[in-house]
Parts: sequence; structure tokens; C-alpha cells
Amino acid sequence: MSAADSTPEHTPERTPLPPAGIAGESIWRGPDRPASPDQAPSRAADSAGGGSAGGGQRRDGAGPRLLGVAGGRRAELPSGAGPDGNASPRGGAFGGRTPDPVRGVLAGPERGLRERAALSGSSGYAQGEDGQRLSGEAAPPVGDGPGRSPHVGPGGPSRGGGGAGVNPGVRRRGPADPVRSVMHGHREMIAGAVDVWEIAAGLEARGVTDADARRLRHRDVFGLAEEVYARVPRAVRVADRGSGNRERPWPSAATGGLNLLPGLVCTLTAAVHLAAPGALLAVAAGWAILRRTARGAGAVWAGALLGFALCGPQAVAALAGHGSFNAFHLGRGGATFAALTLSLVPAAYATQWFAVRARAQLAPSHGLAEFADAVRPRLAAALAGYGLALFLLLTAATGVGGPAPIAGPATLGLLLFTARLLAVHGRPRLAAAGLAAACAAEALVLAAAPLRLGLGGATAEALICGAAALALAVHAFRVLPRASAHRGPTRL
Amino acid sequence: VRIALLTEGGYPYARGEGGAWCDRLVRGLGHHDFDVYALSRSSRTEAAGRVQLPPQVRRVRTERMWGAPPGPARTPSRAPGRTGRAAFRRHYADLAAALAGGTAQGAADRAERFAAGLYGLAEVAAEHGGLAGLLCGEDALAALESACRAAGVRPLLGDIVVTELLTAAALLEQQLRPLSAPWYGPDELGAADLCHAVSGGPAALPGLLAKRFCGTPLIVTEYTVRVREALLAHRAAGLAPAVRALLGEYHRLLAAEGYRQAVLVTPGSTHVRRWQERCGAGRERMRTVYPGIDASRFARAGEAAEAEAAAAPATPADPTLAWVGRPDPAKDLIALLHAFRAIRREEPRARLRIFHLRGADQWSASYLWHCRGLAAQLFPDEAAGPHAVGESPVSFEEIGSPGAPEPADAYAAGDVVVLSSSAEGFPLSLVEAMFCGRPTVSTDVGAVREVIGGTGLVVPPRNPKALAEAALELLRGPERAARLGAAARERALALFTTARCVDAFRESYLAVVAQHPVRREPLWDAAGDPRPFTAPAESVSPTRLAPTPRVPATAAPGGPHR
Repeated sequence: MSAADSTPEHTPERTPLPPAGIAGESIWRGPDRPASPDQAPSRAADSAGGGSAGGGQRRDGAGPRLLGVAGGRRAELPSGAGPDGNASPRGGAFGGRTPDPVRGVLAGPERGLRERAALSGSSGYAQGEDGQRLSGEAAPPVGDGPGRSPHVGPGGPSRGGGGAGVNPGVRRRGPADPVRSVMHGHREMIAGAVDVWEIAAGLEARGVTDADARRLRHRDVFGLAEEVYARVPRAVRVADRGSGNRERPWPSAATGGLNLLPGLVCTLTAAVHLAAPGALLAVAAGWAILRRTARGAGAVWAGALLGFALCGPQAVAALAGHGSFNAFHLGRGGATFAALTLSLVPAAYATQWFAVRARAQLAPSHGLAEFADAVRPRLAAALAGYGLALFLLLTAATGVGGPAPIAGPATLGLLLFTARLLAVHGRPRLAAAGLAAACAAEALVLAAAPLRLGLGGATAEALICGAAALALAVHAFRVLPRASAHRGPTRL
Repeated sequence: VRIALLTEGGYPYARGEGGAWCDRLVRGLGHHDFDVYALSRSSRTEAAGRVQLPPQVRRVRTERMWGAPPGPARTPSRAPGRTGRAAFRRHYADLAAALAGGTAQGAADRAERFAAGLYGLAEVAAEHGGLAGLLCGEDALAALESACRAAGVRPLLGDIVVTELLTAAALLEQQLRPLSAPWYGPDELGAADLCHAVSGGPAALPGLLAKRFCGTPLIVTEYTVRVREALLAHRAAGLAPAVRALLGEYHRLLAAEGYRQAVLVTPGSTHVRRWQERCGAGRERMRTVYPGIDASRFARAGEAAEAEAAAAPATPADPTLAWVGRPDPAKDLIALLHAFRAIRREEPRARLRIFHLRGADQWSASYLWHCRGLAAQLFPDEAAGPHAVGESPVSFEEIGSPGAPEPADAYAAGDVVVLSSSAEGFPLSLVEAMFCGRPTVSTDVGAVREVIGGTGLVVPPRNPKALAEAALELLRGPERAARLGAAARERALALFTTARCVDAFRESYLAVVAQHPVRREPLWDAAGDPRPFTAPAESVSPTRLAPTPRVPATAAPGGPHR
């Protein structure tokens, strides 16, 4: 029930008409105009040739001017080879002005001869009409740009071939091959698509219907999508180099200050010889921070281990009958404990550094193995960095507070740091298990102390924490180089 | 009959497409029992609350397909053991290989592997638990990677990098969450007589598992093409190409498996049907069921139009065009304004009233503003005489304003109703205009031709001239307009009413239940002897024998909001 189209008096005459005699006008010259002798054969060859692709030799008579035009147009055509290699064969020599034979050739390998025959018929139709219309100076403007319509160019209806929707008075604007309008109008969408389905969905969402596709001689939008997928080269894939804003590898000042708090409290109270209450405060503060980090049972075990570090050696000695237990006199352990709590700050920095550096390796890595290889040295560097900082702190503490065993606090620090890394990267249960094992071993030492096995508290702590730290480190080297451990931004 | 209604992102949540349609279906089939199994697509879906559920909805189960994976509180505390992980690796490798494709696999082989992987993963979830953790874990990443690096896989996937692997695995985990939902026991989906997925794709996933584990037949209804939506959403979300390729394949293979397993597929229009056929749905099991629209709101306007037509139709003094809808660039109001300009040249007294829906978002508001500007430029205010106050022939009115308190009034205000869209799915406003008995001129987009049949004029899209001529034809020929309006009303009442849609589904339910009964009891005993009368036909009653209690018998977790 389509209403009649515009009548000739409504023909839009807006397009500025190029002056007579521009290159290529002769192609459109109708039979009623006398053609110059060198152009007549090419015209005849066009209408007779239909969709055949070999345009080379029949252009021979057209003169160098025409060939130049055709060549220029040809250069504009995007290369038709898709990534999967099914390039549509194309008769490039047609230039942009021959209305329909181009389509017949462009249509891709799946097109049959039947359609081609239909096309050649409609080609004659269009040319004859154009010839009648173009009386005198009006040469058809060549539409280089897209049509007015963003999806189907205005050339579309003129290709209908049936003539029902075609106004004989309308000169064709836009390219001779209306599929090029589609390709141009949706260039980015098509170039970025990964398959035909995405293009079909995108075209439909932008208003291209099956009716439009039929006007372009396709069965439906899927057919059109297949053609443009084959003809538009895929966009050059820009490797995802991660988000534009680079993450800072260091924690914020607030986080640093928070981690500094227990160390400060502990140092101050150790300085005024109120070691035990201060240490308790520090342990409480540290526990609060660890709760945020480990989010699980790990914090409890960490607290217990710190408690053993504080009072363990003295308690073991007292239980073995070698002295009395005085929680308010911790001796030289106070200074090293303060150093241990102060090492929360380098631990926070090393954790954040490792998390950010490992995540930065996600985008450049091309495989899981490559990623793991890149992460392992960084994990070793984080562990070594923290170990070094802890060693310096402990050395400074013994320098200030007098000689004291540092093996126990050092191994405990490494154990807690490794557990923290594991917990932050999604393995809190593994971390808690390591800490719990160390706690159990220390409880055994306490229980066995009355038997006087000759194992001092500090030595036992160093052995136990060292073994646990080693075990957790082995797990860390197994687990943390996995990409799944670096999924989202990890909380510190 | 006990029906499990499987939804995704819609019913019973108030926001989301399909909610109103599902509500009409459930209310229209009060003699059946409904269990609603809803997948929510985003936090926005849940934030908008739920619709009030009628008493025949016995239980509501929900599962989230967004946000972080369910924590340890949801999953069993113990991680799956060695055998569980081995089974997971095997099945996930199948799934990943099907997603990655490759030249070595044919289409059928691919669908086979996909189904094997999917059901295998569901078995892992049922037997070992902890599927969410496994889907996020290293095993899944390694399986995806090796599938993408397999021989014959397209280069786009072969070049996948670790970030893309992580994204793809995380999104797949969200999509596969229904696998670990505790819905597949004998008391849940196993107790249903049939599953009705009211959209394709993810909503059909529980139905597929129910069919696999409990033998419950599945009906898939689609009013919008879920695969197409998913593809567009992936594109809009700016996902990396490799991720889009994998997820697009997932949605396509899932849809295909849904169509293959369903005993009945009911597309809502030819457009949907075409996509379904493209995805591999069999024609023999398809039945187009148009969405039902509540005709009662338009009954008064329709009867008035009938009465008007019965009296001798005369050319109106001020011929009025009406447009009703949500302002959107796809509606091409600009073409309508240009068409109206052409109409005014021929018919200087003509008026155009544009009725837009309330609650427009920012996009449509800015488009409307743009159109108002154009209308002001094209049509200056006009007055009857030198002392009268002028008025523009084009008016923009909101539905709910005094000029049109109801949509029906808006349609009734026009002598001809125009639809000028350049793109359209199922044109609801056209159906409503048909209910009101108005003659229509519409553009040939989407399902317009299918909806209007021969009862209105159809012109090509983006052709204001044709639109103007068609509208003029109707404005000048009141007899023809009245005839077309009456025919349109007849057609709409015959095809697009709620009753029609509900009847279609009532028949479908009964046919499916009759032809595919769920065998809960074995028909043969252990010795191989037949057990007569284990499943008599009377055990499945098409109607409810006991009166419906006012309160749902089984309270859902969170409970239906009443």
C-alpha cells in the first residue's frame, strides 16, 4: 500500500550541477545523444557486459581520462579481504559511476548467475533512464560521501530494479554501489565487530531492516552483514594496555600512618619502660589492622604469635623453672618487638607494590605462563625488600636497646608478611592455616617446657616461625603467580 | 498444572521488560500454580522492587547474575575435592572448546560439546559444590587459554591476553550462576509439570537443567531477541573483541541449545522468529504468539470510533494528525514534521498533536526539545484574526495532561494516527491505535506490516512525502478512513488482546503437559514388571481441584512482596 513517490516537479534540484564535460559524463550519455566515437564502444560494452568483471580491455577505447577516473575511484575502495580471507572479487575498473554491474561483481562469491542476470537487466534500465533524463548539461554528481541517510543510501531505492519505488526524475546521488553507503555509515561498528552476528545486530539496532537489505539484493540483514563483514577490513586491534590511569605502586599516606601507629606506640612505651602495656596496645592496634587485611581467622593466630614473641621466651624459662614470669619486665625483647611492629610499614608498602606491579603485568602478558614468569621475580623482590627492611630495623633496635636475639622476630615478621600476601590475594584460608600451624607448635613448646628439653623460647620461636614462613613462601610462589590471584583491585 | 516461570531481568521485578506481560499471563491463568524462578540482571533491577504477586504464584526463587561471586556463606564450606576438580576441568574444557570454535569442529559437533560441558558443569555443581570458586579459579583460566590457543581457532581468539582471559572467565562465571542454584531438587523444579522460560538465553538455562535432571518439558517464549540484546550490550559495554567473541558464542550456543531442547518455541513476531531460526530453532516446534495487550483501556475510545463510523463520516473541520509514543531519534519525529509541512500546503487547517509519554529520560527530553525547536521554526503561530491570540498548528502534549489524561484520549484526538519511526521492534503504539479504531499511516519498519495487515496505510520509512500523501488521502476520504479504522479495530481485537495471548498459552500448556508428562515414578518396578496406574491421567488435572489459599503455601526466601 505504498503511496506514490514524488512526481517530477518535486525533484530536488539542490545538488549543484557540475559543468558539462567533466570526466565520465560519457558513460551516462543516453542513446538519444550522439556519442563521441571513442566513447560509444565503452557504453555498449557496459550495457552488454552486465556483471562480468573483466573491464580492462573494454575500457581501452575510453581514453586515458576515463581510466584515470576509474583508477582513482578504485583506490578509494577499502580492501575487501576480511581476516578470514574470503575477499569478494571485485571489478575495480568500473569506477564509481556504472550503476549496477558493480553490484553484480561485488556481491561476493555466493551470488548466483540468476541474480547477475537480473542485475544486468536493471542496469540497462537505469542507464536508459539516466540517458533520457540527462539532457544537456547535467552530469550525474558522483557521491563520494555517504548518502543523506546514515544506513541505506539514497541510491538504495534506485537499485530496486522493479521500478515501483523509483522516480525516473531523481538523479542518483551517492555511490553507485549502495552497500558502500552502508559500509561508510556504520564504518566503525562494522570494523570493530568480531563476527557477522554482531554486525547484523548492530545494523538492526541502527534501523536497517530486511526491506533495506532486500533493496540491496540480499535476502535479509544477515546476508548484508555477511557482505560488509567480508568487505570492510577489521579495525587494527589495539592491545589493551590496562586502564589509562596508572595505579600508584605505594599506599596512601593514611594507610602508611595507620600501619605506623602500632610501631610508634610500641616504641614510645618501650622507651619509657612500660613495655608490656604498650606492647598490648600495639598488639591490639596491629590486630585491628590485620583484621582489615586478613579478614578471617588469620588475625587471631597472628595475635597469638605476636603474644608468644612478646612473652614466650620468658614464659618458657619460667615454666622450666629458670626464673619468674613478670609481664611488666620484658627485658631486651621490648626493643626488637618494637622493631617488629614498626615493620608493618614496610610490609604495607611491599604488599601494595607487589599487588600493583603484578597487576600491571596482566595486560602485556600473552599467556598465563608468561604472566607467572613475570610475577615470580617481583614476588621474590617483595619478600626480599621486606626482609631487608625488617633486618635493618631489628639491627637498629639491638644497637639502641642492647643485644637481643633477632632470629625469632625476623622469622616471625617474614611469616606474617607472607601470610598477608596470601590473604590479600584471595587465599586467606591458606594463610590462616600456616599461622595456625605455627601457633600449635608454639603451644606444644609451652606445654613441653616443664619437661626441660633444653629448647629455649627464642630458639623454638625462630625454628617454628622459620619453618612456617618457608612453607608459606613455597605456597606463595605456587599460588601468587597465577592470574586468578590478581583478579580485581585487591584491598590492602 | 504446576508451571515454573523462568524469568531473567523482568518479572517479578517491577523494572525490566516483560514484567507487565508476565503479570497478565499469570493473572489470566489463575487456575494453574506458578513458581517463579527469577534471575536478576543488575542491582537496578532489584532496587526497583517487585510487583504485587497474585495468590497463584506459590513461590519465588531468585538468583543474581551480577556482582561478586557468592561468598563462602552460600557455597559449601569445603572446596571440591580432587575428583570434583578433575571433572570440572574436563567439562569446562569442553565448554571452552565449544566457545572458541575452530576449523576442526563442525556446527553440530560444537553444539554437542557445548551441551556436554554445560550439563557436566551442572553435575559438578550438584555433586561437589563450590562451582563459583572453580569458575573463577586458575583451572578455568588455563582451560580457556588452551581452548583459545588450540589449532584452527580464529586469530582473534588466538591472540587473547591475560586480562581478556580474566574478564571472559569472570563474565562466564556470572552467566553460569544458575548452574549452582539449588533449584533442581524434586521439591523445586522437579515438582513442576512444565518450565516456561519467558525469554530466551539465560532464562532458559534453569529450564534446560530441569529437563536434563527431572525431565520437565520446556517452553521458550521470546518477545525480544535475547542473543541480539546480549551482542549489543557487549558492544556497548566496551568489552575487548576476544571477550565479545567468546561471550557472543556462549549466548548463541545457549540459545540454540534452548531452542533444541524446548518442546515449543513461541516467538512474539516474525522478526524474533527469523533470529530464532537463524540460531537453529526448528520450524515444526514454533508457534508465533503475539504479546497480549490490555484492550480494556481502549474499549471506550474504540466504541466511540465505531459509533462515529456508523454515523455518516464527514470531513472534519480541523483535520488532526496524532502521534503517540516515547520521543526517541528512532521515532523520526523530524520526518513527521516535514510530512506535516507538506500536508499543510494542501490542507491549511490541518493540525498535528504530538503526545509523548511521561517520565522521559534525558535523551528523549533533549530530542523532544530539538523537535519543538524545529516545529517552532517550520510552523509559526497562527491566529484566526488580527485580535485573536495565535496558536501553533503543532502541539506537544504529555499524556496525563488535561488534553489527554489517558493514552486512549490521545489516540482518539487524532483523525489519523501516524507512526513515523525509522526503526521499531513490535510497535505497541500502533496496536493501541488499532484498538481505538483509528485509521493509521505507518512506516514499513520492524513488525509494522505484520501488525497492521491490510488495515492501514504503510509507507517507506524516511519518506516524509509519502507519509504526507498517505495521511492526506485518509484526511480527505473520511469514508475510507472510517472503514480502515473499523477493520484495524477488528484485527487488533482478534489478534492482540490479552485473552488471545493467554488462551494461546493455556492451550500450549495443556498440549505440552499431555504430550510430555513428567515421569516421577518409574513405570516398571525393579523386577521389570509393569506398574499399572502409577501415573494416571487424572494425576495431572488441568484445573485446580482445591480452592486457592489466600496466602502462598510455600514462603520464598525474602518472600513475595505483597
